[in-house]
Amino acid sequence: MAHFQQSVIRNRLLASLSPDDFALVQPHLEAVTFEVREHLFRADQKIAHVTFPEFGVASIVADTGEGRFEVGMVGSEGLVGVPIVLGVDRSPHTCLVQASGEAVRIGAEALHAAMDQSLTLRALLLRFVHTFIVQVSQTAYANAGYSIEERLARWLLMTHDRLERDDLPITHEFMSVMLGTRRPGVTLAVQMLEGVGVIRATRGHITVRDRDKLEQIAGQSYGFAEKEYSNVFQFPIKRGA
Amino acid sequence: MRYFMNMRYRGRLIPDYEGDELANEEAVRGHALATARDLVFRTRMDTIRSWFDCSFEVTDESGRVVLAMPFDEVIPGSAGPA
Repeated sequence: MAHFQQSVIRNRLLASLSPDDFALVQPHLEAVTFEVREHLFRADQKIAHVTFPEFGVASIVADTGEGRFEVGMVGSEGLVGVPIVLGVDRSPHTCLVQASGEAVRIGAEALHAAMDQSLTLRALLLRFVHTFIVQVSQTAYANAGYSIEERLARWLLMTHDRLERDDLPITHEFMSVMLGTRRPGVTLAVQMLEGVGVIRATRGHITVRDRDKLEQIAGQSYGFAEKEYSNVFQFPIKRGA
Repeated sequence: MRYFMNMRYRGRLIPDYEGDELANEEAVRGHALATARDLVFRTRMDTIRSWFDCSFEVTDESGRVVLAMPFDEVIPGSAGPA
């Protein structure tokens, strides 16, 4: 199983495991690719794996029947399958790929066995769960108090943090699902952000041009969760930090 | 059929390049009303001082305007375009 050397793993959680902890999970790791809009798990169905993205972004989405909206975002800084880490094998939420990529995954049973053997592995995964809860809480805060423009700025920053390029392949329709708003609201917000020069929008693409200004627009809705992640893991989630 | 939910706000036209798939032209009005209602009552935007300054100018795939609907039509009893 020489093909999973820890030194070439890009996922920040797997990369930061101690060599002993990595050796526990290594024999069970499996490389997978994921495509845009693919489901990594579906609401109320058994979650078979915990997935550690190497590239790309996945969204945890709540589907209420009246509409869908994103409650969490995961890239190479984290893992998909928080319920499994907490000992629950299904969730009312769905996980949808937002930007295609590659990942390493491990079966739920194998991960549980490894977590039972290593307190330090368990602790690291639980620290991620904590940062994820903070992220989700900040999303709730942003949704309660911020305008669509501010929330879009925050969402673009979060996506930008998790992709290694400035050109983000996203449609207005997809952003409207992510923000839980109607597409014309996103179209207006995109126009506003483009008008002040922070992004360039072409069909199906958003290019980040001025990250600092995007952070100014997002205001306090962005940064809190990212700071907590850096505090917990001692490495940044935020780009350029 | 694909219908494009272009918006007019204080004279400016904000084009919709993505559009929505709807069964036919009769479905356009209901979709426009539901969308406008959601924006008016549930969506806070800095860019838009008043949603009632907005209207939809829905076009079909050929670019023909199939519906012009001011957002104040979401208020029950509104007489529609003044």
